[in-house]
Amino acid sequence: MNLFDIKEGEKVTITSMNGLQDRVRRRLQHLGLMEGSEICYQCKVPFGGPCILATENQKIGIRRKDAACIQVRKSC
Amino acid sequence: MLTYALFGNPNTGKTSLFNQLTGSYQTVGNWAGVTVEKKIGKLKGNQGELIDLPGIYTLNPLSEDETVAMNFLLQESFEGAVNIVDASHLDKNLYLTVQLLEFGKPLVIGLNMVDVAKRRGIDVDAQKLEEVLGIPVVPIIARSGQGLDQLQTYLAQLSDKSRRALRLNYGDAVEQAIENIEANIPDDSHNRRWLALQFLEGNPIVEKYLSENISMDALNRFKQQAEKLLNGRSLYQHIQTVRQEFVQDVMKKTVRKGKANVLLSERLDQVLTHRIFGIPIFLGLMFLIFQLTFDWLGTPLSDALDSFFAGPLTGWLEALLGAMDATVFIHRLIIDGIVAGVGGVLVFVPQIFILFFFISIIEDSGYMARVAVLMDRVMEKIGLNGKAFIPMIIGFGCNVPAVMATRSIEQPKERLITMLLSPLMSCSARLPVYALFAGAFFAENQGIVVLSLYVLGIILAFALAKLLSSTILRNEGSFFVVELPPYHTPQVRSLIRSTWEKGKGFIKKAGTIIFAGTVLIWLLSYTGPTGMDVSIDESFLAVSGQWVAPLLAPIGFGTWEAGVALMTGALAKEVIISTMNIIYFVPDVDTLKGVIMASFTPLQAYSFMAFVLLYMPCIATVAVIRKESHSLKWTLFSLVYGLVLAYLVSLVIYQVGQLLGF
Ligand SMILES: Nc1nc2c(ncn2[C@@H]2O[C@H](COP(=O)(O)OP(=O)(O)OP(=O)(O)O)[C@@H](O)[C@H]2O)c(=O)[nH]1
Ligand SMILES: [Mg+2]
Repeated sequence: MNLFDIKEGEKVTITSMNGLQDRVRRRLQHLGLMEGSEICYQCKVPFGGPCILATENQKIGIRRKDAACIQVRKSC
Repeated sequence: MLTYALFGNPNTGKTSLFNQLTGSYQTVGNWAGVTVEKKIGKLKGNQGELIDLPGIYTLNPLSEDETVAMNFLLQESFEGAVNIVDASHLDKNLYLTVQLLEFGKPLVIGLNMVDVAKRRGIDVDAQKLEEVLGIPVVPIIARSGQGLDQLQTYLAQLSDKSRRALRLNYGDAVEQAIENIEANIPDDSHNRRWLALQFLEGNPIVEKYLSENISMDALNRFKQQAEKLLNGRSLYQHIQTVRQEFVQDVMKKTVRKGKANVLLSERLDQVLTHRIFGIPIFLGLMFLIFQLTFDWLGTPLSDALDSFFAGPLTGWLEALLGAMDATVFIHRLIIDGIVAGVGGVLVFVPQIFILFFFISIIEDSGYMARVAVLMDRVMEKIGLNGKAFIPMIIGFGCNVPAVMATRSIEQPKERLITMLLSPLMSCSARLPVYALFAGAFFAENQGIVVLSLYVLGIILAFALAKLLSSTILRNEGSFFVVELPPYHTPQVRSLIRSTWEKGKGFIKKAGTIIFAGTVLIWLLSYTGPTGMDVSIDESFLAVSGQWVAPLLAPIGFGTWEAGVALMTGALAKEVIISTMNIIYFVPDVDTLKGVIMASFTPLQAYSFMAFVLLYMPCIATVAVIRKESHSLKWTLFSLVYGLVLAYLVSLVIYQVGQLLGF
């Protein structure tokens, strides 16, 4: 499943970021998001706006279409 | 002269440290990408020079500001570097540190934001970190200055310590490639191993650097060979993973996590980026700022200053001039020219400072990045991304730093569009014009009328962005990734400093360009084709104004006075007010309001304000657009489209307004 299917507030682990545009992936890696990172999906801005992800100690805003390219699984 | 450079991730406090160590002031703000160019300062105590650079996550740049930092590393010489590391995000920050260690120049780590880390329950063992990395680590709080003495001591000792560069083992395939490439690099002005590694991970700047001296065929061959041996992983990924593993190892040895305090930042975000209320809250805050600047707080203060200039100050000056037996010419130059012209602009200082104060709060609180998120959807629709809204907000203060701020926009075309359109943001130089006209004609709803002009600028910028991005500046692969830093409560001291630093430019301008413009305009109003001391309607000023007046008639203000004011306003928009003060020959702004009310209708006044908003960027903005776009063509475009747009918009406002019976 991808990040876009996740309910707000759920904790998930990234399994793959291969579907992302190269530059988006690199930027996210700069911010410490990579395969194996645990994230919490926070909220969406309405009307198709971006969504906010939270990692352990920071928050990142990305577009929904990019969120849909990030594969995740539920953390136990 | 010893030179030290500051490297570190964005928003980690490099500029805060720079300001503390050099005693100068550069803009500090709580979002990634505040500093976009190299800044040089002298270290206190004559220790040498300190260079502040834009923040970078890695040496492999994605945007223009990051390129600046990388170019500095590669091209300029310096004795040592300070790596500012955010203690609350050590893992993210150490990735850059690894590359700096591989680079091999003397390095000291400033472990910053230890206060933030502590609040989050993160404990970094600085001594252990020092052992593991083999370089000095100093815990500091750049904002308050804590720990800086020790940092400076280390800095002074840095240049005579030579250090072995860090060597990570990248595995047989890559190590072989590194060895081969190293053998091909002739000069050793940089660590060869570092160059080879950066080349292998695909750093375009290093590639360009190498290609200046050696043929790339062999190097590319080594690169491909190594990549083949990696079983489908790219070299970039592989190298990154090795470094990440090293970082994780360091983290394990040095960081302990305890319980974090429940953060206020979280709760603020629940409101400020609320899915439904986020945007209305932003608009509401903007409206509040306008009301305070133009209505509730700013206007009474400006009025008070105005009465002071017109009353006591003029009185004193007249007494002084009388006592000095000044000639009539000097007397009139000073009282009717300079006091009216420069004073007429200076009375708006309170309003400008109030506006700058609020901009400083937005910058330093952390709200800026949230606004970028809130606006991204709209920006995407017009072919830009949410980050482009940051220069636009800065543009409300001044268009020059706004154009600079576009450097942090990764996409070159999006950056160019943002740059070209930032002059449409109503900067503080337009503020005196609005304050004067709105105060005279729309005293009841000043705030709203002025807000409507700001909104007009934004809407036109959006429309043009859409037009440009779907025609000549079409671009694929627009993207948006933004860090949302935790909110900081801005410190009063730094807010005052930042407000002053922004506002002092205005006062400086009053003493230079506005002063010079005023003297010139007064002279032109005092002399005419028939000689000196002519009536103003026969002055050079009137003659030149009459030439453009007919052109302006269809848009509502075909008088020579308006024509002259607009022409001189090309210098700096404040000069429009100086010119009107001189032409209408009034002692204070209050009287000026009365006079312009007799020569404009409210509709004409609104059309005039719209024209002033749009008609062309000031000289300083044109110069910075030229420098940042590297293109004469686009610079001319920014001049021409402004004029055309201003004329069309004012025409519509005036003609349609008349039809509607205003
Ligand atoms: N709590 C705390 N805040 C700090 C400290 N140092 C800096 N800040 C704040 O962190 C934010 C970023 O500071 P800057 O100095 O602009 O950071 P920078 O590294 O120059 O950022 P860029 O120019 O964007 O790369 C500002 O809001 C500072 O007030 C610190 O030690 N503690
Ligand atoms: Mg900075």
